[in-house]
Amino acid sequence: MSAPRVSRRASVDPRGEFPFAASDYVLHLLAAIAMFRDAALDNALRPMDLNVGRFRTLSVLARCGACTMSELSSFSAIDRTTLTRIADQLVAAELVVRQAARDRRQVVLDLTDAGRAAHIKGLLAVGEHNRIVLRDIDEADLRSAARLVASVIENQTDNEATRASIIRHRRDPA
Amino acid sequence: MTETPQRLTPRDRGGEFPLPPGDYLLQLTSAMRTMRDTALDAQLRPHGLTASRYRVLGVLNQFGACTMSEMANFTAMDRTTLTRIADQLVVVGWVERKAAPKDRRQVLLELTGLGRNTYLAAVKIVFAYNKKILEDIPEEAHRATARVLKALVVNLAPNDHARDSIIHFSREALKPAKADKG
Repeated sequence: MSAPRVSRRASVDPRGEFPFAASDYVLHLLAAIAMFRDAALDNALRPMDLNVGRFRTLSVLARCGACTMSELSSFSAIDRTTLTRIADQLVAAELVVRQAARDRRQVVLDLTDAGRAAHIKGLLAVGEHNRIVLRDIDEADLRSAARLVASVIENQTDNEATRASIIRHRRDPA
Repeated sequence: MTETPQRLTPRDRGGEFPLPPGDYLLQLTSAMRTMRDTALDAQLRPHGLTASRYRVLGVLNQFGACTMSEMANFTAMDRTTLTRIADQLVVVGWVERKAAPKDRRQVLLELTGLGRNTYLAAVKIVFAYNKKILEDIPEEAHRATARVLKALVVNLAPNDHARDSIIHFSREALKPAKADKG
């Protein structure tokens, strides 16, 4: 038997500009944008044998240098299970190599030359996609929106390494 | 000269962000979604839900029975993912598939009583999480950001129905859809 609907009256925009409260609407739009974009980027990256997850992992390694799996998970905000699968794929494709860290007790992941080249090709594809998506939107508005999303990310995690990598593009929280 | 990631990655001329504001916003949006889904997956797991399954239940709660096309438009999910999620929700008895009354060839998804109870338990968790991550952000900042994000949805949506479904989140605001075989 079908169930009666439950009203979303808990979330209403009192000014009537948006279909529900502005804060909930922002999260709704952000989720949709991320999904639309991931689907579009998966298509754009497919000719390079990449997808969004693999490209993001290559990007973190290009930005932060060799990383342990724990560091890579913190820097990318990708969960360990997903990351292990992505890392295995990148190693199999010889875009990433697993090697012993300086202290020999840890294994780190690092880009190979082919991985660096694939990342650069991916960057070009993503840059081209971004130009299309960002057309006709005022830079000051984009700047304000970026500040808000950065604040949301600050609220999402207490992990300083994640904040430093994602918000400031730095390896160290300092 | 060999191209390097540094040469290919433009900087923010204002010096505020590590990338130009638009590229940075898009990158943050992807990261935020990954972090939110990971956190919600963990919090919803005791209820047998994931963030994606929750979204599907939420749309069915809001709009009643939906075709797969409507569901894809209201959730922004691709059809392959959506079919897998719908199958999972049918197996656990939270959603049922049925023929549309006016066109028996059309398949509708509809929430069951069990599915509604599951959704009601989950919605409290999701609202509490949303409240936490939106803490201390002023209302006017949300409103200004929502306007920018609407413009991004317009530029990103794969078609007009997907765009209007996300922006208006209302059946009434949509033009009559063409026949859908579900």
